[in-house]
Amino acid sequence: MNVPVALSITLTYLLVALCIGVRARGGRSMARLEEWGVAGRSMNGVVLYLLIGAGSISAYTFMGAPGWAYSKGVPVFYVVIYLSYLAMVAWYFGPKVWALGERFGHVTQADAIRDRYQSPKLGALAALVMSIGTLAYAVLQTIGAAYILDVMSGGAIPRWAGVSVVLGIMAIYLWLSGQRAIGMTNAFQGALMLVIAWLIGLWATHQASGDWWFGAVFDRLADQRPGFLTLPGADGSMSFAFWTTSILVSMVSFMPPVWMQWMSARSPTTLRRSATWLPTYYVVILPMVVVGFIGIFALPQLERADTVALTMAMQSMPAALAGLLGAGTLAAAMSSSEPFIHATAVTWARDVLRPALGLSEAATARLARWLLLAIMALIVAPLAITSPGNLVMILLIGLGFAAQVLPAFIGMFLWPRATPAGVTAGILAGFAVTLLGTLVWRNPLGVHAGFWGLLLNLPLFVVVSLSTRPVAREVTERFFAIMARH
Amino acid sequence: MPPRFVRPTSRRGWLLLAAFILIIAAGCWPVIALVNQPVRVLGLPLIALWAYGIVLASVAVMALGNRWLARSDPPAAEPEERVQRERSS
Repeated sequence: MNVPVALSITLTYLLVALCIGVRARGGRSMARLEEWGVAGRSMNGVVLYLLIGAGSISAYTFMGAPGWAYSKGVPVFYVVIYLSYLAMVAWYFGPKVWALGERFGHVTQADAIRDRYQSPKLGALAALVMSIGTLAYAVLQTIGAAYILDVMSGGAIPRWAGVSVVLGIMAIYLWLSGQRAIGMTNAFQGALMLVIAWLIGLWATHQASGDWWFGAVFDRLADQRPGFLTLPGADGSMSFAFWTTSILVSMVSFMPPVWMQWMSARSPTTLRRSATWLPTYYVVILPMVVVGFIGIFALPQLERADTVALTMAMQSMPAALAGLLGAGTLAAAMSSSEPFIHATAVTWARDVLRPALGLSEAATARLARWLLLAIMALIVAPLAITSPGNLVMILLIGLGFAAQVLPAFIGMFLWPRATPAGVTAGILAGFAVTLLGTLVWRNPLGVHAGFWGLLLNLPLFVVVSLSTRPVAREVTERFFAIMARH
Repeated sequence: MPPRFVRPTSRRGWLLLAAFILIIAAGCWPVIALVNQPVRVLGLPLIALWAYGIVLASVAVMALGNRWLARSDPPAAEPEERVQRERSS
């Protein structure tokens, strides 16, 4: 492969993303956290569609999904289903979150939790613990981005340099433009991913079968490897129980950056319209999954399944196409990394340090921007460069926790009787069970550890809530008055 | 304030809730076991086509919900209106 051509295309993408991110500011002051954190609640439907779509897809589309297809087969499609359900969750809950934020000035998820339960401690706890999974996710995406630069440069850009370049570029536009940069760069990255994924998928299919549609690829699989076309998949790992519980647990995991994306919408109607069309974005996954299936025959001895698309690109694609794949994968990694780092900076400043130090609104906004740089330099960069072996485990635990915060949202949107004690008891019990089911007895009986957590969490939440004192009536009344209108 | 649990307040609300539950059930066991066959439709494995069928169904139900909401709700205030409202208050 012609490395200079492929690398220059990938680097051109980085420059374009930088320009878009810097220009996204548009002369606005970023002194208010509402502006830097949630773009002054001003994003239009198209930007929001691509922002949420690209943010939820991540490097998984270009590396993980083809890898799953390569090693397991059709179990990979559970992602398409749960992402569609997440869009329905956004359609239903997003406008309520937006209305709460607009009415009561919430910027973060923990902000809303603190207000609903009148507990700064519960808000700070939610902010800190949710950031475990959030940061682990951002670190993994950054590692993916650096890996792309390493591959596309033929090894000339080592991981430390790739991490520095990617984080450096993100730091510049996030510092200058905050959530507006995330919106505009994700819109660009989302559109780019969609085009590149289909270009690569169709090209690889045509090379492998002579057809432009995927049918011949699956015909061959049905003849020679039929185990890839049904559950539990070729490696037998995706039972019906694990498929179902993975979808349900993922569906109820309200990640903090997504919450902030909802609050960035111009209006509840804009958000609802974006959520309505959001599932259509996930056609981006199909062509890359087919690339993974093609790899089963083209690259039978591959050591790491998630490198199947890149390996195929390096071995057989024209340099321009390989460069585009590099750009698309980098876009996917960055579009997921940046909102997670940004959301962590905002929530640490607003929900942990502001109440602890008694900061003003303006000081909190300044602190959030400095925290962004500190998180990148002192947490994300060192972890991405050293890439500790237990990072994926930290991510799994973090994501397992995300689902366990469900009682806090049930109490916010659906059940006025929920109490801070009930929520705390449910979260802690659910988290402990998820931890055991992740570290000690992995997914007992083939059921997702987070689902076992919820089985204890939810009944405990109800029982403790019914036996403890609720927050002041006026608090639940003002929350549920908004629920009734949205 | 609702006394126990927030529930839909109209027939259309209940219909939407039922449609949401049906779509979620369509992606889970036992329904998924019914489409777990090694056959191909339109060139795709049945389970892949089913997944994208769920995509279309969820878009259709949300679009229907938007239409119903547009008929029953007053139009939401846009940012400019909000600013004017805040200035005048």
